Amino acid sequence: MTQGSRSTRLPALIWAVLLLLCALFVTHQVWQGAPLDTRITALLPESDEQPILQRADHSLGDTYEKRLLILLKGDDSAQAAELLRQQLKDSGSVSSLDTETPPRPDKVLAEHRYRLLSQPLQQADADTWLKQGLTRLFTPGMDADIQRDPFGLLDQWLNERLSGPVSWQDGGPTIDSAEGLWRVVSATLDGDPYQLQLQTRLMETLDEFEQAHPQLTVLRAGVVFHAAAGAQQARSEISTIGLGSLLGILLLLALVFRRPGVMAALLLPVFCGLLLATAVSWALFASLNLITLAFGASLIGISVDYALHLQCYRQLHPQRPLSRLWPSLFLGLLTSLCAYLVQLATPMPGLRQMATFTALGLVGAWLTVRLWLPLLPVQPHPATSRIADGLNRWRLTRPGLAVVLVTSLILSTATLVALMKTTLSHDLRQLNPSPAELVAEQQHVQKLMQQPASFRYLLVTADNEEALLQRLEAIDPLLTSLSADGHLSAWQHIAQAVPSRATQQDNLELVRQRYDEVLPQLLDQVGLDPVLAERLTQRLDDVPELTINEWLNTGAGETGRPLVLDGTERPAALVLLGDVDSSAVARLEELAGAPDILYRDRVNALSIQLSTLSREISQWLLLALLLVIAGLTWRYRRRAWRALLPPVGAVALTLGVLAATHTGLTLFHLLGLLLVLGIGMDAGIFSTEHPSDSSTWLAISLSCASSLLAFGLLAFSATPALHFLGTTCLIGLVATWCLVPVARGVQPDSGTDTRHHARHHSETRSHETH
Amino acid sequence: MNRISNRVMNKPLSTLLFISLMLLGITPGVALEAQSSENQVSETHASENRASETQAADDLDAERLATQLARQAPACVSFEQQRWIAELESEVTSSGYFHRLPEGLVWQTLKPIEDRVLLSADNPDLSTGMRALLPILSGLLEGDWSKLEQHFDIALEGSMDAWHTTLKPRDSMVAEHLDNIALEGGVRLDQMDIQFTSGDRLALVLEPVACSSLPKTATTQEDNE
Repeated sequence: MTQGSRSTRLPALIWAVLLLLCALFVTHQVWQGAPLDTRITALLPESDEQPILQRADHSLGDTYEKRLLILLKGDDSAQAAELLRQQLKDSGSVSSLDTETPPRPDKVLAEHRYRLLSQPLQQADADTWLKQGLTRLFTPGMDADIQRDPFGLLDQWLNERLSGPVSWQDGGPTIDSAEGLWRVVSATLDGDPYQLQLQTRLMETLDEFEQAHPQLTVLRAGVVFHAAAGAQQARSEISTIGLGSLLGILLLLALVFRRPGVMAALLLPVFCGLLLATAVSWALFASLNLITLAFGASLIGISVDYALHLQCYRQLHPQRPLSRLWPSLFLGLLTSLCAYLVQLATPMPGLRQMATFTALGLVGAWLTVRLWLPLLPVQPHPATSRIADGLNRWRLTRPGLAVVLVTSLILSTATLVALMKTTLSHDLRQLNPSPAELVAEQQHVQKLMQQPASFRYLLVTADNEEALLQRLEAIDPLLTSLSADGHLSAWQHIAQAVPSRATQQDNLELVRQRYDEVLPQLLDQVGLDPVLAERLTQRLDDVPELTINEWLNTGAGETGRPLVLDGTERPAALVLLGDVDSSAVARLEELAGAPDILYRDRVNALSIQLSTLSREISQWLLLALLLVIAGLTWRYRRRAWRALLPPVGAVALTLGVLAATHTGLTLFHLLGLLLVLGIGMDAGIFSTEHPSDSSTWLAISLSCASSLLAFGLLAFSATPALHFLGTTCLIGLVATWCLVPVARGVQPDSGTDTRHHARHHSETRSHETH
Repeated sequence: MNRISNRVMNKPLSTLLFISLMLLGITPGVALEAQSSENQVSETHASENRASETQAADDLDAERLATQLARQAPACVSFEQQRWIAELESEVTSSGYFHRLPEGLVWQTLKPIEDRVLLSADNPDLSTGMRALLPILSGLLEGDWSKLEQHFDIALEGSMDAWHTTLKPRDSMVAEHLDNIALEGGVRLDQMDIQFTSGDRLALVLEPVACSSLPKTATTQEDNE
């Protein structure tokens, strides 16, 4: 054994220093509370669409990701809402509360009112104007304001354009719905919703508040709550799945090796792999996605393979040189790395992160096995070889006709079913990791607030602000008619609050005309001196125009800010759209045929990206399969089928079972298949390289069992993505393990192969007689 | 918060109407409830309104008064309205009647012109301010006196037969438009004076009438259809 020569100690020492640095960096990151990302969309590709659409998406994302809304209903809700606002402020989790003073559009717009005409008033004739003027004066309580606004222009403008479900009561915003009176607490987060510290502070504050006010019904909406739920779930799953996997593996290894030293030596590479992967990935990608961690950490279960093969080999053949093992160990690493590094070529940032994480973990584990483990002394326990011998009997030395027939029948049936019935599923909602009740709460709040969702919009550009407003006004009638016919639930754009200069001028002209026609008559009918008309009309002389900037800079108008894009080459605005049906989509897409209008449905776009991606990954899978077939055929010639049966057969069986259970394949099923392929290849390669070696079969069994423990638990994950991955791996790995005995059935004395194998075989025999 | 309604600025209006309607006892629900379970209502209200009770004169109980006003609620009430417009130094007068109908409350002006406003959630022509009133109306149906105290400091003086009160708005938003409301009455509310901060004033003199005696106008024909 190579214990302690200078040439092996130096690399081992360098590796130790490197790992120490990694450990320091990870500690630093955890100390700093560096963000962990839980968005499923982070795993999706960067859009290859127009930059302006990306900009709009980002702008909407920034605006809505930091917003949070809490609705309260019940006894003493007004005081409770005030208390909650104070507690949120004190907790430091929010940067600002939105509604400390009531917005006063009436004050902002008072001087502009003669340029702002509601649709009905624009269309109404002189008689209708007269009647409205009279009603305002004769209905009691109304602050008639005959001198400034005898026809109630401002009232009607506010009513038509700026009224929503929210009103101001008891010093705060409220929604009076059929369910009762809701108090609205809305705020902007003091940072990124994915920051764990921020989430913790916010959730603690809210939980304490809810415990102190059990009489209240509380509804929450906002990205931060989904992020926190996702983080919570991922954290608990990392601990259950991670812990379950670790305990299972520990038990298994304790049973087989029965020496704490050996077990420590087996877990050491996994730990080192994780350390390297976490540190380098965190440094490369500013934030780590929790799915990456959960996925990658389990994946590193493969890395225990290398240690297993090495330790089994050393335990059972302490006298043999390790150099015999290095080629297959290296081939194992290369094939696995290939399978994961292929993912680097995909355009999905999250997938690239996962691939990087896993590849690094594998390399870290492999290096530890290669550099450190040979330096440790070996003390085989007799039980190990007993178990290996026992297991070794489970091989099909000469597979009988029945076994061959049954295996072929199962595999061909599975392949047939897979070919005929495999379907792909690209429903983004299926991958949404949020708990159903949180999604329901969010929808409830959106319904109460009557907000259009922020993922569907028209993007309109123009040469200047005036042209932009006019363009928005020009498409408004189409939206109105779509809405009137029930094809569109809601829409929102800036020209609803700020008409174009041309429209404002037209409005003012019409108001002048009506004042001239109607005002003397109105005054006469109510018994006032018609001469007053001249005095009242003077107010129309210097009416200032309302501009976008002026409006957005007021408390009443600032919520419209997301409707206008900043810093674009040409002025650009968004028309946010609510629910649409297919005929509305057709009309909107037709509208977007114009060069200055784009239609965007982010969910749809993401679904399309997902399906493209799934197609790409299936192609990669196929390519990887072909490469493996070609490579292994070249290396093993006629024995190639033995190396290929475990990976290819397992993939076929998995696809068959999924198809037979009508499971639409998602991206994550495909990723699972990639994993099955990788583990199957390891098993195939080792069992073909060392066909008669009982240590190989022991290592393969332990590897399959440990990976099954890890991935079998993933199938129970509540995060859909991990669940799909787990189910696939569960089926695939069982299939792999069952197929290896069928594939490895070379008789120790068959004597067909090269000198290498002859030597190998005689050693095995000597060991077996031993 | 996407849009904040301009109900905000119509708060004085809605509150005013709420009070006037309550004191007129104009809603059938309150009247019926008051008649069928007077004692129970009084007890509930008494516990809710200790503050106003202490303010009330010995022989004048706010709760008893509210119950009395509700019990006396007539279906039809005639009004004389005088609106003083300070800036124009002019007065606008009108007259007409209230009429309680299943589909809502009708405010019918007869002079100087005929004009009718239906206060109902189903009326699309209702202004924002009027619409904001509707939820308060439903509060009124439940005989919710605490709402009044929430918005106003109430000073009640006189006896059950001849009383007057002054309501001062507590809410700064309301106080921005409304200075105070003065009410006078005996078994029923007889007069209401509203003083606005702008200097404008609104005075209403009220008198119950038999609905059958009301003139048949084009608009009342509509009501009855």
